[in-house]
Amino acid sequence: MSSSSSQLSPLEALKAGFRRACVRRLVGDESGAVRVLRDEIPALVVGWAKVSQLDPSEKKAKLKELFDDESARADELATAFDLFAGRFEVRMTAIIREQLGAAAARSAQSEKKSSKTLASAKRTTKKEPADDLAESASLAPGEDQLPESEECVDPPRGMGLKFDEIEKMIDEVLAFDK
Amino acid sequence: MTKESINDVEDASESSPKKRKMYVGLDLGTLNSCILTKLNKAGAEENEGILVPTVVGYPEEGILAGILPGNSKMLHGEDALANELHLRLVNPLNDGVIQDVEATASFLRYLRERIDPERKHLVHCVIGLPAGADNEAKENLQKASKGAFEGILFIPEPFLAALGMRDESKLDDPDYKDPVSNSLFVDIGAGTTDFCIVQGYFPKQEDLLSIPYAGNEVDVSLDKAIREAYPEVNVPLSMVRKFKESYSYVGELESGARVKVPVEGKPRKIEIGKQVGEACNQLLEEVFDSIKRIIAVASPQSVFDMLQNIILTGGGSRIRNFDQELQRKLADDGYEDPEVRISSRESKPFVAIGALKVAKAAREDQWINP
Repeated sequence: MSSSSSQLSPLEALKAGFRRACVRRLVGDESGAVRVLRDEIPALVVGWAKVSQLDPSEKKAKLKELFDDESARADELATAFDLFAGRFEVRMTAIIREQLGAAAARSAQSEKKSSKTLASAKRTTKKEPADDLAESASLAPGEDQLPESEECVDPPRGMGLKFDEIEKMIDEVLAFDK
Repeated sequence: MTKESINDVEDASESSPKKRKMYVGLDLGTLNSCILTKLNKAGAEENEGILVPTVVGYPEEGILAGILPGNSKMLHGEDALANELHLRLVNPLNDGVIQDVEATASFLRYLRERIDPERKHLVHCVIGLPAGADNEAKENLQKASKGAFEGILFIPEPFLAALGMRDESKLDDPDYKDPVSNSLFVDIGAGTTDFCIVQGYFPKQEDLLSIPYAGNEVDVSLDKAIREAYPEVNVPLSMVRKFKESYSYVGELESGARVKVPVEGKPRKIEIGKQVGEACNQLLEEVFDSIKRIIAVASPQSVFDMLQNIILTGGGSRIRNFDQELQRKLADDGYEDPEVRISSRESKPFVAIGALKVAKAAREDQWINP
């Protein structure tokens, strides 16, 4: 039992204890929730039952109400957290994408600069035959002629009609049906 | 509620030169249907169409006068569900195709009444069909459309979903990623889950796959699991569906889904977190197995890009963690950097939007007179 619960009224302490169990379960700490329910809640229930003026049947109903209320509150908390997490994810994704894009652009630019510098340095330096061999061996066939962005992609699939050719698509669908 | 008689239906097929054409898009779903009459303009208020549960209710024999609103002989959609105690409910569709032509015809006439109650227009409607619908399914739908619409066209739903998702006003924006350029659409509905490879062109038959495993099967599995865990609990499938809609998730089993059910008339709370997870995980497995089948037929050189554009749509896409878990399973299975995303956090009627775009683009001679 936490030290703060001892300063609360027995009912408040019981609520706080059960809420703690619910929160543990929500964050995926099932064993922690079970521990609170097993080790803390019975003592808190007894503590409250001793001071409560209610009849036994009323006590039982009150306990049920308390547990139901706290479970419902925890469920609401989970829903709110899910909603917040969704919005947070969207916002963070946008920021990260922007920053990654900028970093990629900077990196591409500096790579381009260093290639140019390297090429001009090579042009001005007399090459040893061994260097030529090493350079050509490090390149895959065709790599020097074909930049990555111009890589060939096989022809698109489908019925050969683009998405703005709706009329022709309808003709195709009608012809297929016939 | 419908008030029309057979005569009204016949009159509707009259074409009057004074009547103006009205174009509509219809997503005729197994569980819910959406009919749309207007497309959103940039900056305009969102138009989500009219969403109607696809159900028809016939009064039980011997029902007292005055019990049903207007002493109706038939109720539809929300009206039918609200009076289900006194009705025999019929689902016109099963697994996305018509199982009861008469009920479907009545339902379509009801939809017509919702959008054009005074029959002042000649309604031309594009209706989405599941990817695998055969000729019999199309013929039945044509029969059922008689009296409801003056012109019809049936287009495969995956085409419509892709068209509906595309925002043509942004095509010139260099930052806009056109969803139809190279994607795999997975539409998880109630009756079927449809898969469609879209690579900038309308797909061919072999790019489409439809399986009869979707939301309804989850409901049935969950119902069975609840009955096994709590034999004393006997709740209708519609209640089970609501539980699923509130608590559905996939992945590691969780607890924390406590629902109130009646047991011999008294309220009782039961925990169904594990059962919901197991039922939804079954759907995830089915989708995962089918996605592997369709990826296998994708063109070898564009498949890697396509794997980074797997788009989930339909009601099933709103199952919590479905996108993340599917992505994780694909990555664990050896696919390179798969990326699965949900078409929209909110429920958007992409099939109906696509259907309305087709309706507006169709030539006069392409419409079928039902």
